[in-house]
Amino acid sequence: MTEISPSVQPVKAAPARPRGLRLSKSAGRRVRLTITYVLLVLGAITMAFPLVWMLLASFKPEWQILTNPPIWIPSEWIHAQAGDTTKEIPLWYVDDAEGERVRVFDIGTRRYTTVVDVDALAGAMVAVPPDDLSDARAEEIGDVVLNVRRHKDGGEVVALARDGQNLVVAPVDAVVEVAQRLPLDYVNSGGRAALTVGDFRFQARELEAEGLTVVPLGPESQLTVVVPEDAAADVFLVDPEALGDFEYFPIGETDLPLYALDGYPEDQRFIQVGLETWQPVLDLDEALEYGFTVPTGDLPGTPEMRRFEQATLPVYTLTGEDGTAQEFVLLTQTGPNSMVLPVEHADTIRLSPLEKLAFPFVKTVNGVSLRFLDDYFEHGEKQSVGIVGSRVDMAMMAPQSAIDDAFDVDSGSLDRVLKIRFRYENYTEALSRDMGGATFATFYKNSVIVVALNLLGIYLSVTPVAYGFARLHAPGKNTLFLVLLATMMLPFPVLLIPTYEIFRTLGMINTLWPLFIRSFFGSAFFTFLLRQFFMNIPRELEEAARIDGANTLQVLWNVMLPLSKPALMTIGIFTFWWNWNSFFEPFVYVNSIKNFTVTLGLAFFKGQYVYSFHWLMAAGMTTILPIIILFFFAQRYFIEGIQLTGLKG
Amino acid sequence: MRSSALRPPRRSRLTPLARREALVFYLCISPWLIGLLVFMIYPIFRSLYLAFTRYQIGHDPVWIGLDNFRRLLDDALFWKSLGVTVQYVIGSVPGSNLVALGVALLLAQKIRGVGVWRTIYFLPSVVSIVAVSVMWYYVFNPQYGIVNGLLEMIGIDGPGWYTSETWAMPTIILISWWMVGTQVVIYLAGLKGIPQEYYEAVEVDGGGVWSKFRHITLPLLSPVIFFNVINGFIGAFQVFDQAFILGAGSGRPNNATLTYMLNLYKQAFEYGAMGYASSLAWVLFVIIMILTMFILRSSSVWVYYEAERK
Repeated sequence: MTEISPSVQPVKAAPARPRGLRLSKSAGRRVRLTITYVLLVLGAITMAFPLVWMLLASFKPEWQILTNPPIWIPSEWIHAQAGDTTKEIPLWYVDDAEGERVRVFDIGTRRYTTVVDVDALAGAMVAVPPDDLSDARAEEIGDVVLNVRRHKDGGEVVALARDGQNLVVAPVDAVVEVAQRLPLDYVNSGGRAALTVGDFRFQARELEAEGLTVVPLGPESQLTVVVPEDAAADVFLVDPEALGDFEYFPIGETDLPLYALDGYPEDQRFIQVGLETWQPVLDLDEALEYGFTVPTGDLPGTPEMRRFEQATLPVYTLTGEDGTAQEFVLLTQTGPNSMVLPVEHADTIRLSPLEKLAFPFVKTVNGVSLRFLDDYFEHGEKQSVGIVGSRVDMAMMAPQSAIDDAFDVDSGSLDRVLKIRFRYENYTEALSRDMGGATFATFYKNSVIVVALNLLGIYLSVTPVAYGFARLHAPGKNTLFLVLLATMMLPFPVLLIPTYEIFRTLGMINTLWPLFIRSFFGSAFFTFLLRQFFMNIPRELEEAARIDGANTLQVLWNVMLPLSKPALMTIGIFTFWWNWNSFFEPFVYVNSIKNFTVTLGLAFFKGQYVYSFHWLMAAGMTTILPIIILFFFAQRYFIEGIQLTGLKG
Repeated sequence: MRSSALRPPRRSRLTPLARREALVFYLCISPWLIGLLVFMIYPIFRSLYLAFTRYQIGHDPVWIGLDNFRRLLDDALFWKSLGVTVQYVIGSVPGSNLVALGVALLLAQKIRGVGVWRTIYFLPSVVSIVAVSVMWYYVFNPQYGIVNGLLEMIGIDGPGWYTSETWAMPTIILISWWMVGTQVVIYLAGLKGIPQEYYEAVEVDGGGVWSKFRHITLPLLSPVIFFNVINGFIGAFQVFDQAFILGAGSGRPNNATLTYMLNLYKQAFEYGAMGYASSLAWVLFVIIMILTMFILRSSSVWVYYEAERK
């Protein structure tokens, strides 16, 4: 370059130039470094985020897994106990009328619509072609919500009815004056009426209470009715048959349908908080200790249906050999066998909401399959319960007095009452899930066996082969080494079917044998790797041992192997890595779930529990954990191994 | 062969000591030799034979000449799976190599905490593809997955990902761009091997970042790029795990994730057409060979070998 050529570089020629150059250069470097870091951080987020998201998901309760917007931190939804029942009602935070944040639960929804008294608009209405109007947009104006359209000549209007091809509209300002928001079911309960105002006809409703005939315009909106959490204490269960007629009553600032209940004074009214399916359960210990099996045929005639708490179960009277009669509750039946329990031990029978009993376990007791749960939570305590009898629909009711403070809120303003909690149970639940005779414990055991035997096989076979190729001379050695290198290029799909045949002939299909046996016959990649390493060990060391009278095996064991630790580590780590992660081969050679490896087990688990992402993520985390730990402790060997040959399994 | 030319003449008749050494050699490599015969050489010939037969496990193979290959030409599933696989290869190999090269270039800068960064970028490639696919199955959930959730936050209506026929394969390709750890490591090793003086020379000539990359990094790294592309290429043609998990094991939706290997697996082990599956395997082998040859040939144009310069 001309500027640094000697002719233009006298000492004093341009003293400012290099300094300025250096400054701009270091500034440029700083900019470049900043961009590098920004890109690195963005890239690292992209790389790590899915794994972090998976880790977080593995600690979330099921309902937090698929939410929109996402819930980031695993947490627990706080519930209120519904009276004496086993039902837990989820709580929400909401701002009440005074703007105070209160804990509430949801007792239903109210739908509202906007109505107008068109009589009062008589002078303001005109019919216009629909093409002159824009599309309707819901807007909140004053107390009401209206579907506002823009007219092409300017001005905003609300469409009130059709008039042939045209729409009858009135200016927004005029409509707002006579519009009000009313509960939809109240409006719909008014009688239909055809109304004519001027030249226009309307479909209207007669509202007796208001003494008005109004036209419902919409849009409809929905609000959630909530009550403070204390009300949950008064909730009780009734048979839905006991519900009488309902009427709308003003409660708080809303109107709610209240029911009369059979068996209660007529002037008392109740609100229905929920209607759902319940299942009788009882303490598992009680059932196992006192319950026993009788042939179904021995149960006499028709049973008496008896109430235990809220549950109804059949009771049989059996006469013993000594003539004494005893009453038994029928718990459950499997084909010819029935499990019964003496009535005096039946006092733990109660109803549980079905939602708490998802994914029960099954155990066979004297020929009867009993469904049970050992992680059933009731009043905050973990219990073991047996699932018995048949399901029943029950209504949850609360007395009018309990819901005096009810109010309406926009459902979007409800926030769950949450407490941060990492739900480690996802792991225990996922890992203990029985998938037809095997759990993840089985898969772990199998994977450990496969990896261990592969390690053994690889070390036993690769060491002498690599030594042979590195140190010994024999005719045909070079050709054989070329063959060894060539086998690395061989695509496995071509070998797949004959290899399967071989294992089938040897009776190894559906066992773990195909997953490790080939390791005992060497591996081209590892042999190559170790041979290169052996070649770099000075021959003198070996010869010294030979002079001392060591044979080949002793040389290998005492000289070569201790010096090859890095290569042996790499081999071991890669063997672990590839075999732990391997999916295709176990998938082809193993069908029985008892012989699944973890990757295969995870794929199967995914097939079984497609929508139980909380378990799926927990199970996934446990399968990748050993590799991640290995990677953190031995990263160097991973990287050196890859660099050495650039080969990926 | 070079080695035979170097062999001293006395080797043709071995001394007792040399004979003993040869014996020890063959003893040492015997495990591999047996493995070679049983698990490599025999299967290759057997597989080649089976490709020309109709064969079900438990029955004798029936020689049917070229029928398997004729059937294959008319087999819609074959063409579908080949198309799906080619789509994957075209999407994943250049894409993941670009990502890996970019990451390697960043990591090769003089930055703090290279080890930490490298760990983060490498981690996705360490864990099993099955676990990773299960994770993406959750992340890409069309209704509530975090990806569509985040897209919605910025006002984009996310696609159906693995549930959509058009998006299923792009989803799997996207995942492959994420698992670039091994390629990054190889590129990084390649970058470390480029002498610093070359860059200084460019700097002296007044070249900027781009000319350094264009005239030094790219040519000197081209053998490594070539190696990664070839490797990625061979691997991509045999893609199975991701497609199996995200396509629920059956190429869902509507065979949009039916890769070549998945089709081969189904033909062999679900439909029991072992002969046909063998012919599929050989066709794949030939396709890979031809394309590899093609890339090898083309490499003289774009791969810069230092040896040529000397």
